[in-house]
Amino acid sequence: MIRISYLILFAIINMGESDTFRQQMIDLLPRLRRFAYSLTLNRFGADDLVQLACERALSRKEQFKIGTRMDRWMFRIIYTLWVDSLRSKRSCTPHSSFNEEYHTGGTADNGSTRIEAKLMLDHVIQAMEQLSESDRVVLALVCIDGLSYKEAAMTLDVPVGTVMSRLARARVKLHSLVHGNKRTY
Amino acid sequence: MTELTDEKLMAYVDGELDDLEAEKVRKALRTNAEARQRIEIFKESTILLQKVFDAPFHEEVPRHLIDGIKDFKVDDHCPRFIDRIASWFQVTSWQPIHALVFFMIFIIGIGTGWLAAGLKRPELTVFSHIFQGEDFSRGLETSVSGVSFDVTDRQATVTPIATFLGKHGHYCRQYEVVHSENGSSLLAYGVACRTGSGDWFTRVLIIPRSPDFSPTDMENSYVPAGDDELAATIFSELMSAPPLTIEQEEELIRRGWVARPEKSGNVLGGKKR
Repeated sequence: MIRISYLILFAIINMGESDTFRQQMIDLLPRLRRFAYSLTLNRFGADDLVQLACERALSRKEQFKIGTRMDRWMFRIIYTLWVDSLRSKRSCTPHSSFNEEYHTGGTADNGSTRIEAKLMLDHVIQAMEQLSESDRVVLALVCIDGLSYKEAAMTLDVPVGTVMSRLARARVKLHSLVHGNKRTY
Repeated sequence: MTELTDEKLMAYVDGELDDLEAEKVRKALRTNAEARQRIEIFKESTILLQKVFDAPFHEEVPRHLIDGIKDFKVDDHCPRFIDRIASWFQVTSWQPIHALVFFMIFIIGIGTGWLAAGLKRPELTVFSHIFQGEDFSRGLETSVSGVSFDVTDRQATVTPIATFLGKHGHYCRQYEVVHSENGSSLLAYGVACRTGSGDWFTRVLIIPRSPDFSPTDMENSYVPAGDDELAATIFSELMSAPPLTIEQEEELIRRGWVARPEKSGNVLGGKKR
């Protein structure tokens, strides 16, 4: 009888842990979507990437160490899936997505502002397309998601110095590309 | 004198320096205009990137992503080969991916010669563009089985063959696709499944050897007999119920692929956006 009770208790605890794990993942979805978008530059692709990453994480739940940062683990999975897919297909993602913020309805008075904003959006996305995967991911982790250099380094499993040098180089290159792209219009 | 490298300036902007180092940089910046310009580059990059990519963080998370996590079922046992294919259908949402990032091709073959040749087969490149586009999705969304539709500019004709509910609650359609070019035809069978937003995404594709096409790299390959039988076996394993009748298909298409409430159960179909 006692053994059965322990089994039931174990089952209840197990179910509870599983629910917590999934809820943590659900709570992370806004950040995961943002991160995936900054890598894929494509809203549709981003959500699909997040979907796949969540499935991968759920099917390999035993690899996650309780008490460690799930966000870093998920970012790592997303990045790995993305790089794998790029390597297998080696096609550029033409940016066909758009930031809805710049496409919401507005009056004719702010039409020029919206056009200017859209152009800047295009410049930045075109610039990101020209960056390497390793440059893009450090920009995504630090500049967009706000991780510290150390957190980004742990996420990518590289030294902090590597993150810093890639990040500095990527930001300078981004600046050059964005303002270079603007000049072509 | 503090050396103002890009990394140091960037760390200063990002708040990564300790107080002592930050103070040194601040002092050095007073007399270094070039360094101040570099500072602006690092500041601007963060502002721009956050402006461009921040939207998903603030919007409501699509329901299918949440449901996908809640409803995901993990098999504890080592899945059978056919179950691994069925597990692909656990995805609750597939979106069209322009760059074929998540395009999956499944080639049935026995022997490394066949598989190696299969991976190089040019028809994979031919077919790969067909399954992502709007034409493909629109056709599967609106055509009953037996009614062919063309995939524009791809010289391909797709014919849905059967519609069924997959084992993970999504509507799927078996189809045949014929690509014609320069007098040659390529044939493939596939299964595409519907996302909550109404896009169709190929999950399984079988390309039998085509008698009309003999690329030189297939000279030494081996093609197993009975591709059609094998395809039928795989497809039947993916179904949770017998295929729909034409009348049921017509009704489902009319209702935008939304199942009747009394039959919805774990069906996750939804209206096209």
